[in-house]
Amino acid sequence: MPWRAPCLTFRRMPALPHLYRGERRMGIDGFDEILNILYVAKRLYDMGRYDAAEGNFYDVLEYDTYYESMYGLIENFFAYHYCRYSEMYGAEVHVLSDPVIADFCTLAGRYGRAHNISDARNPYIQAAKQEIGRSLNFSYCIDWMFMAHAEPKRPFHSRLGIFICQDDYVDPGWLAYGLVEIYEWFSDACARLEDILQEKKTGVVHMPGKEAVAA
Amino acid sequence: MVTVNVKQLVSAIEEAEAFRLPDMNEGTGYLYGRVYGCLSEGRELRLSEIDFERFDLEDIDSMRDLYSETLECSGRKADALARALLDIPPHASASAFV
Repeated sequence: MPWRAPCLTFRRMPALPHLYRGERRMGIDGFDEILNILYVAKRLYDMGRYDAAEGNFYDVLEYDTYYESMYGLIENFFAYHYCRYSEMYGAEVHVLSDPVIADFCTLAGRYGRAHNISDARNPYIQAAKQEIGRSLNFSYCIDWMFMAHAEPKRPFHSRLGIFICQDDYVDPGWLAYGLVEIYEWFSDACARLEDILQEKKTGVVHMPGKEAVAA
Repeated sequence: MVTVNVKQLVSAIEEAEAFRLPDMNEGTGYLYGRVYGCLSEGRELRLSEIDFERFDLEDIDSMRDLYSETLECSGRKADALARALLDIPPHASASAFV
């Protein structure tokens, strides 16, 4: 009987953040953007990371501070962030990493080695890519690359690259929210992978929203 | 000559079906009062003064819907009404008690 990867269950996450993106309306200036700030702040509050909102968002909620607040969060939410503009690709390049990403890749690698699975076929790394896609594929102007290193050669070797094409508008609120979702997923996945590696159970791999069965 | 009884007008506006708010849950009610109420009156809204225990993420979506489907439209109607009232030319008249 073929073996199956241990059970990895996650709480169900919403299909898409309900942040508003679109045309400006009459009425209160930037009301949708203000609600977007509240939405991200509430999400951070619920996951116990409200310090990130306090550290990056202006206390006075108004439309004028929306972009600065969201970019502040994008740049500071993960432990490592590097940003530059690439003339060659005409895109803003963000490289992000965090201990939760580095630890996840190391743990996934340990799991892979224990079951003789290559990194390319590792169900946990594949699930991570699926989650990143779910959180970032909201705009055709965004592309991303996940570099997972099961045996890292340096700190933050495992990292996420995000490429923001400058052809069209990308709402920084959506990007910030996506990164918050990604962070929480990696954080939860690390804790569960640690449990799995300690228990050495076998079974079905339950990934968020769908079931992935190891080869 | 057009005369306006301000008391009656305010009362009529408050009771008008067109300005009636739909039912909302506690969380949306909190956001309506704390966030929309503050901003619609042009007052400063501070993140540090928001009680995040009093609403859920879904309530923010409800608030967004309430704004786009009801409040924004009501605001326009109120503006139109205010403009109509302001356009009424003043008319000097003797008060009954004089």
